[in-house]
Amino acid sequence: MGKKKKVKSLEAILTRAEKLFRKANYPLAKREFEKARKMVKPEDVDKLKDIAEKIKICGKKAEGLKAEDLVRRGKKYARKGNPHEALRCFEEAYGISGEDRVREKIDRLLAILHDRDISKAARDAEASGEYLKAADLYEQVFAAQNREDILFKRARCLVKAGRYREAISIFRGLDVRDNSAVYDYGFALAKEGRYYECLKVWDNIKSQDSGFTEQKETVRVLLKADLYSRFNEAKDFGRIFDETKYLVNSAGLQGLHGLLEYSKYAWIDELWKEEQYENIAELLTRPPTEIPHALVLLYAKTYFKLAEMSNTHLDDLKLFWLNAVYSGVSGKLSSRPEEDERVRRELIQMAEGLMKRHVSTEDGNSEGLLTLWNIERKLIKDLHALVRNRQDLAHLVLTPQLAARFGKSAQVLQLIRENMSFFKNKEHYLIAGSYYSVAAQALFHMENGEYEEAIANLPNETNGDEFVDYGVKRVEFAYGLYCLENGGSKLGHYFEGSPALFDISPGYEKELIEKAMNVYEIHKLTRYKEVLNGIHRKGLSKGIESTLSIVMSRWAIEAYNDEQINDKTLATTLRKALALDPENEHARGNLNDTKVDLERISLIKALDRHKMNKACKIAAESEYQEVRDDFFAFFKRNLDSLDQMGFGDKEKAFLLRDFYGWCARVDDSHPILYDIDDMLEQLE
Amino acid sequence: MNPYKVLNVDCRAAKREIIQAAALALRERKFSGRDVALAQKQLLNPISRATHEFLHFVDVKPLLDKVDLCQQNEQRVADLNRLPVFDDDL
Repeated sequence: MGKKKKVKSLEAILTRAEKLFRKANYPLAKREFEKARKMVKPEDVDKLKDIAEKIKICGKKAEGLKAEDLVRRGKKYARKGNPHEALRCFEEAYGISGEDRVREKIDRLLAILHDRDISKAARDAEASGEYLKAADLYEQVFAAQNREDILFKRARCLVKAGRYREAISIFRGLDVRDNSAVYDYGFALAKEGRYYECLKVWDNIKSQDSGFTEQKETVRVLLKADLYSRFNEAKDFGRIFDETKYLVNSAGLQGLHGLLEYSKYAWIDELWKEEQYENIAELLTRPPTEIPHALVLLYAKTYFKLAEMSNTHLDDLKLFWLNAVYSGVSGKLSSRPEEDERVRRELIQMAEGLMKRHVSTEDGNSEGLLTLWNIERKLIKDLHALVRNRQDLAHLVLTPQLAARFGKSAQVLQLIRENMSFFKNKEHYLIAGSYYSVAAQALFHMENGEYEEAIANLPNETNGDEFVDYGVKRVEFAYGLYCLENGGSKLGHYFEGSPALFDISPGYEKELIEKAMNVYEIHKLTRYKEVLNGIHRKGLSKGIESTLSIVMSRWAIEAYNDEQINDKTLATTLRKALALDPENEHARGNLNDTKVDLERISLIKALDRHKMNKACKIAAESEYQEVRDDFFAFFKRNLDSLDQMGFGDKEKAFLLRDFYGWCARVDDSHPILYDIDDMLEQLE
Repeated sequence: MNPYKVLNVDCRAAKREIIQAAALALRERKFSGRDVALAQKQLLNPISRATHEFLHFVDVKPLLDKVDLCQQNEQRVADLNRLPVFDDDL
C-alpha cells in the first residue's frame, strides 16, 4: 500500500502558492491558488476575491511566457532556414499575445516565403527553358529584393529568350564583370547588330575557348560587312573610321585598308568643312613613304591653318607647303596658267609671313626654320623651272626633305645631272645637287649654324659623287671657319678641300680672306697663319698669298710683343712675310723698325762688353741715325759722369783721348768732339 | 579671313553670284561691311581668288578614287548562336 498523502492546510497551500508566485512560476502558483480557493469558506469573501485575483494574474503571466517562448522558437527556426516552422511559432505566439511586433515578423516571413516561391518558380522556368517566364519572375523577385544578381539572371534569361534589346538595357546599367554576363551582354549587342560594341565588350573576356574565338571572328566579319554597308550610306565617317581602325588594329583583318583610308579622307572632308583642323592633323601622321600630290596638298593646307592659330606645326608647314604649291604641273593653282606664278608667289609669301610672325615671337629654332625654308624655296624653284611643263617629271619637284622622305632623292639627283646646262654655273649646279645628296643633312645643320652637328652628320665616303664631295667641302670649310674663330683641333684638315672649293666658288676664298684681314688677336692669328699656310702650300693664289703675308707679319709683331719670339725670329718672320708679298707695307715697316732695334741692341751689347772697335764699326756702318744717336749718347753719359768715377787727372786725360778717337771714327764732326777737347784743355 | 565663308559661296561661284552674295551678306550683318567688301574684292580678283581657293578648300576626291572598296561577305547575324561556354562561370 502506498503512503497516504498528507492533507495540507489552507494556510500551507497559500504560503506555497505565494512562494511560487514570487518566483514567477505562474502555472504552479495558479494551481495552488485554485486548490486553496476550494478550501476557503464561502463566507470568507475577501479571501476568495484575493485568491481569484491572483489566479487571474497567474493565468495572464503564464500565457505571456508561453508566447515569448514561441517567439524564441520561431526565431530559432528562421535562423536555421525553416521559415515554415518559424511562421507557425510566430502565428501561435501572435494568437496568444496579439503583439504588433510578432505580426510584423509574420508578414516579413510571409513575404520571404512568397519570394522564395517566385525565385523557385523562376529557376524552374529557366531550367525548363521558359526563359521569358523566368525573366518576368526574376523581375518580380528583383522588385522585392532589389539585388543585382537577380538582374543578371533576368538579363541572361532575356538573352536566352531572344529579347536582346531589353537585355542590353539591363546590362548597360550593371557592372558587368564575370565572363558569363560579359559574354551574354556582348552576344545581345551582336544580335542587335551592334558588332563594334559587342567586340569591345568581349575584349574583356580573356578566354582561348575555340568556340568563343570563332564566334568573335564571325562578329568581326559581320562588323566589316556592316562598315561597308554604312559606308555606302555615306554617313558618320568618323565612327566608321574609328571602328575600322579598331578592326585593323585588334585583328589585322584583311581587306580593310581601303575602307580605313576611304573613311579617313571622307571624314577629313567633313572635318575640314567644320574647320576642325586639329582633328585632321591627328589623322594625318607624317607619311613614312611617298604620298599622292592630293595628300601633300591636304597636309600643307591643314598645317597652314594650324600655323595660323599657333606655332605648333611650323615644321610640318615647312615640310609640305613648298611641295604643295610647286608640285603638279604648271597651271594647277589658277584657272589661267599665266596667273599661276603670281598665285604661287602669293601663297609662298603667306606661309613665309606666318613663319616670320612666329619667329619674331619665338626662340632661335624658328629662326633656323626660316633659314632652311629659304634654302628649300630656292632649290624647289629651280627644280620647278627645270621640269617646266613636263608631266612625267612633275613628281620630282620636291624639297630635299620631302624627296628624301619619299625616296626620290636619287631621281632628283639624276634629273639635276642630266640638266647641268640648266644651271647658271658649276657652283649653282653643285649646290642644287648637294642638297639632295647624302650630305644634305650636314649642309642643313651648317646653314643653321649648328657646326658640330654638321660635321657629325657628314657622310663617311663621298664615293666619287661630285655633289657629296662639294657638300663635304662646304661643310668642312664652314666648320673650319667656325674653328678659326672659336678654336678647335686638326684645323688644317677642314681646309684640305678648300683650294678645290675656291676654284668652284671663289666667294668662299674671299670670305676667308675677309675674315683673316679682320683678325688681330694673337691666338686667332696663330690659327689663321696655320690654315692659310696650309692652303698656300696646295696652290698658288695671289689673294691667299698676300693675306698670309699680312697675317704672318701681324702675328710676328703680336708674338714679339707677347715675348713669344725673339728679335731674330721676328725679323725672319717679317722677311718671310715680305717675300710672300713684297707689297706688304706692314711687314716692310716693321722689318725696318726691327733692323734698327737689332743694331741698337748689338751696339749696346758691344759697349757693355767694352768691345769699342765693334761698337764703332756698328755705329759707323749703320744706316740708321738712331744707332749713332745711341752711340754718342753713351759717350755723353760717360763724359757727364767722369768726375764721379774717381779717376786722377792723368787717367781722365787718357780716357778722354780714347773717347775722342772712338767718337771721331764714327763721326769726325760730331759736337761731342768739341766737348772732349774742352775737357782735355781744362785738365792740361 | 575666309572670303568664301563671309559671302557664303562655294568655290565655283560666278562673278554675279559673288556680287549678289555680298549684297545679301551686308543685309544679314553677320560680318562687318568692311569684311564683306574685302571678301568681295578678294573673290573678284583672280589672283587672290585662286589663292583663297587654295587655302580654304580641300579636294579629297582624288584620294577617295584610289581606294578599292570591293567587299564580299558570307556571314550573317543569324549564324550567331549563344554559346553556353561561360555558363559554368556563374
